[in-house]
Amino acid sequence: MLERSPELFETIERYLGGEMPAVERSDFETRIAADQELRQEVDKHRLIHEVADDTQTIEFAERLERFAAEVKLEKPRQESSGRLLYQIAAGVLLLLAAFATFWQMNSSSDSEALFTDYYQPFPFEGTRAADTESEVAAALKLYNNGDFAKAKKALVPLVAKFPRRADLQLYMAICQIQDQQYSEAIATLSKISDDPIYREDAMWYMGLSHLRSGNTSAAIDYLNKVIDYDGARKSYAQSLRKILLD
Amino acid sequence: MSDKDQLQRFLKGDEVTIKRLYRKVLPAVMKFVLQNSGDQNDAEDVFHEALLVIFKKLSTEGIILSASLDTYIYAICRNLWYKVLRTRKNTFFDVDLSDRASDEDIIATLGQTEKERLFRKYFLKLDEKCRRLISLFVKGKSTAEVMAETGYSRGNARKKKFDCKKKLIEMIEKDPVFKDYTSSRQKGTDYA
Repeated sequence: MLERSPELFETIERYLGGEMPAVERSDFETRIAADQELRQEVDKHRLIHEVADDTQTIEFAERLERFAAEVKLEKPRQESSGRLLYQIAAGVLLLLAAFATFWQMNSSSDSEALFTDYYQPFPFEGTRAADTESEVAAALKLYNNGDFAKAKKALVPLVAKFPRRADLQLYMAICQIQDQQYSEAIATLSKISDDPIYREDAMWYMGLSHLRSGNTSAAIDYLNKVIDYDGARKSYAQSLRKILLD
Repeated sequence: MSDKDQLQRFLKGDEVTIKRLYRKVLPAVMKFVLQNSGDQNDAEDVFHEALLVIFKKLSTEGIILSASLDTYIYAICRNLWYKVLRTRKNTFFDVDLSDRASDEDIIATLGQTEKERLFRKYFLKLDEKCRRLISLFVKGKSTAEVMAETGYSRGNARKKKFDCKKKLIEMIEKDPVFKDYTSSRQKGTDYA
């Protein structure tokens, strides 16, 4: 078995760095040709050198590590501050509950008002390179401009043509919600309820569509799913569910 | 913002763009890996590797996306995780490589950088001093320059470099992907 030593490493480094005299290089290459373990060791060093020499990628990776650590801290910051934060949260919840009760007593259409408070159209995420100059780009431009009626018309053939594009289904559902076609929106959203990227958005808008249709128990079911998903919409779902349950 | 803009921002290491990916796509990757015999660390490793694969591809040859960037990253993560699963013993799973993104492109991307990914993954697991030391020597800095930049004495710098590289090679050799890779190649040719 090959024994790793500083001398062996430095010999390999001088070979890879082109620092060996011709005779020594030739002898070393003869050894490499005859010894599979040595050959593999040299290859490992070669790869380490390639990676270590790629400063741009290493710096990018270090940047990623820093961002990842910062994003990771975002959640514990809310959870780890102990009793004081817990008390503040409890106070806020009490205030919310009081507000909700007051609001409920004074509202003639609870579901509609709650929907208005919580609903915002899904933000336009941008076009893809392949969409440029295409019918998809034109439809998405209408959506981005807030012209939901025209966007819906343009999206109808596109969701049929590209059934696997979850983003188009989601834009379509938003257009249907804007047009007060809540059951159609729910049907559209159910097609992407298992999509790994848009699943949480689909459940959130299904919950809101049920709420707006007056089906509170179905709305709560979907809000529970959003809460279980534990994503970006969790706190909104928790606050809306609290009001509905109160 | 178009995907082209997003890719440009990503390539520049834009904080908002990258943190958005961590908040939006990592949870989806996490769910997938957890549902397929992995844990949280596996998911984070795979996600981190996927972002580096994209960075490398973007900075060398460019990418024309056939799906949104989020979907593309997710598909790469999925393929990377399948590769890990294939090397883990007693793991059974269904490989469904169909996806919205072009998996042929993705597999080609992974194939091109597999060895490099593995070595980079463990290089990044070394502490910062080790990384710096190896990089300085690799870039052809003289021992005197390395001593000036790191504060090590001559003997210490060389010894520390040996320790760092040895540790790195040992970490790589323990990785199941590496073992699988070498055993499959030893049947025919050499490791590289």
